[in-house]
Amino acid sequence: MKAVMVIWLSLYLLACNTAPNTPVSDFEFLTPRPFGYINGDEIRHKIIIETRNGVQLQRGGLPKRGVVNRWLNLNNVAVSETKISGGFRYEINLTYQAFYAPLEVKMLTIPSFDLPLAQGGNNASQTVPAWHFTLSPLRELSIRKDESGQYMRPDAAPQLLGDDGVVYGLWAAMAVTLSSAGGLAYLYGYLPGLPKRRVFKKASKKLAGLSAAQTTEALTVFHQALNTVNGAPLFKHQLADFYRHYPSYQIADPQLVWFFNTSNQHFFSDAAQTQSATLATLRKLCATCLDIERGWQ
Amino acid sequence: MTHSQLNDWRESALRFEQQLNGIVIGQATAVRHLMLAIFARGHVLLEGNVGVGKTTLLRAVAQGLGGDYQRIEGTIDLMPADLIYYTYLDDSGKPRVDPGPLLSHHERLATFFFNEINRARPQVHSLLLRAMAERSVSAFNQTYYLPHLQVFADRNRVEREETFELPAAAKDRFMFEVSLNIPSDGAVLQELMFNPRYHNTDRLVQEMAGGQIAYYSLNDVSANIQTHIHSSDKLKTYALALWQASHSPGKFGIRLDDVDMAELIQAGASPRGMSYFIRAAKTRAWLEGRDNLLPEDLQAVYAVTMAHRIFFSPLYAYRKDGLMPQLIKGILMQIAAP
Repeated sequence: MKAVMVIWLSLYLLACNTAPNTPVSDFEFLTPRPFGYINGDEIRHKIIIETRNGVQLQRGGLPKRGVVNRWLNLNNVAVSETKISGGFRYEINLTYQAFYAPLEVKMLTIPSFDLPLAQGGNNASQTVPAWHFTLSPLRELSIRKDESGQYMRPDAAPQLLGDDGVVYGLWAAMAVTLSSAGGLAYLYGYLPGLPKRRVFKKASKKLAGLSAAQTTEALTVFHQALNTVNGAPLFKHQLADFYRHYPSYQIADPQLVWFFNTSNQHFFSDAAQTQSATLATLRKLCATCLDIERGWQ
Repeated sequence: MTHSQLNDWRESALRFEQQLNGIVIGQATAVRHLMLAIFARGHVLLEGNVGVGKTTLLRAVAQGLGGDYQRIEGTIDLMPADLIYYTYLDDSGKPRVDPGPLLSHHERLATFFFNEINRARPQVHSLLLRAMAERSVSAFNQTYYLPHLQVFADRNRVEREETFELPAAAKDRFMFEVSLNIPSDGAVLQELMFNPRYHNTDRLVQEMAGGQIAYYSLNDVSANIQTHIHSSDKLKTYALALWQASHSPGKFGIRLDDVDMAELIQAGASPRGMSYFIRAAKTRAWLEGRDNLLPEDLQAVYAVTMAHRIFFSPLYAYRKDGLMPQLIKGILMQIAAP
């Protein structure tokens, strides 16, 4: 018994002594099933290779994408590298596509190739073995002539799932969205066909950009807004007619009378006095008219 | 003249206007225009159907002003000399030459009413031009001054036969062309029909308090009004635009149906017309109790001042009655101030 153990130990130590001399510490060639393929199928190979002592894979020596032979294409080559103790671990994914139309089940071979390795000035290689698989025809050799004559035909269209509820919901949501958007556009004066709805909105923007000293510009802006709404220049003595055509503005009558009095005083009186509060009051009046324009008053 | 004196005059003027409206009812607009003409010292061309109260109104005005009133009927055989003098045989059978209607009242002539002026010949119109523009007439080798003369002329628009259209120069002498139309208010018409007060015009005119407006002071009052009422630069710009629009309405965006605006106007308002225009507008501002002109003053007198000063090209002249109100309205509706 003791002698047997000594022999096993000796063999083990012998094995440990020879292993470090090879550049590859692990090599795995992982392949899919070797049968059941038809014309146009893709075949994926995975190669795992671990090197030792700083041996590196020479990527320039890997198979190139493109035509391998008349029936085989290499569509994709992906390499990932990770560092492991004393070397590197490479994971190589190869995607082939076979274009062969056999008349009967036929065995084909993806050819072998070498993976070049290098360490400094030393070169080595690891052979990836050829891989055999069988390719089947798409159909039998002679086309069957049945009564319908539709043997060669595409797949039947799949039956769609019932989506009436979803479609109705979509239409309802769209209707609500569009009506809300239309309402808001109307209120905010975005509708191009209703330019008058934007009159006081524009005026408000202009007034917001003016300073208290720019009374002339402020009064002119508001005059122009009123003229636009009226469709013609509007003067104080025409306010009654204006209210007849636009009755909603009647509630702003005291403010509009103030505006015309202020404007007349400013533009047509020699003793024009600019009041510091004019712009602020005008902005309030414009906001009131904006509310009227939007139908909020 | 002080501010308070002008205020007193305004109160008198408004009372005067109120009384006129009580005598000639349903013609408030025309009465207001006559008031403006009186205090702006402008002559007035009246136009209207027969029997609407033109003569009654003018007689009431003359009664209120207190000056002398003279009326002459325009006829086709009326000659200029007929206004200056007339000849007759006196009681002793000797030929006499006496001053005619224009000269007989001397400087007291305040209201001269030329009825149916378009029946008179152009020679008569030309005599009237000087009397209106210069308020003087040459006769008997001397010049007669008529400083307080105010001419009111009437155009009958019913009959056009045997009439002479007033030349542009004669029309331009008139500050206003005022239309007197039949009142549209049924109550006013009933009052005119059934109230005996309006059947006897002599008695009606006598209701007007005489001399409440001193006619001999009107020139001074008018001059003071013109000085007292101010106009800003902005308003001057607006008035200028209104004037320019009477010449080139197309440039101001004014469009009339079925009218080539570039071909419409033959002549627009004259500088004298614009002077009348501003005088009338200032008088309105004064009557409204202001000391500054507003756009509404200009608008109130634009039609009566401009309509007889704008001349359409022959292509559109025959449509004047329809186009002129549209043009005036278009100008006032299109030009903004400020």
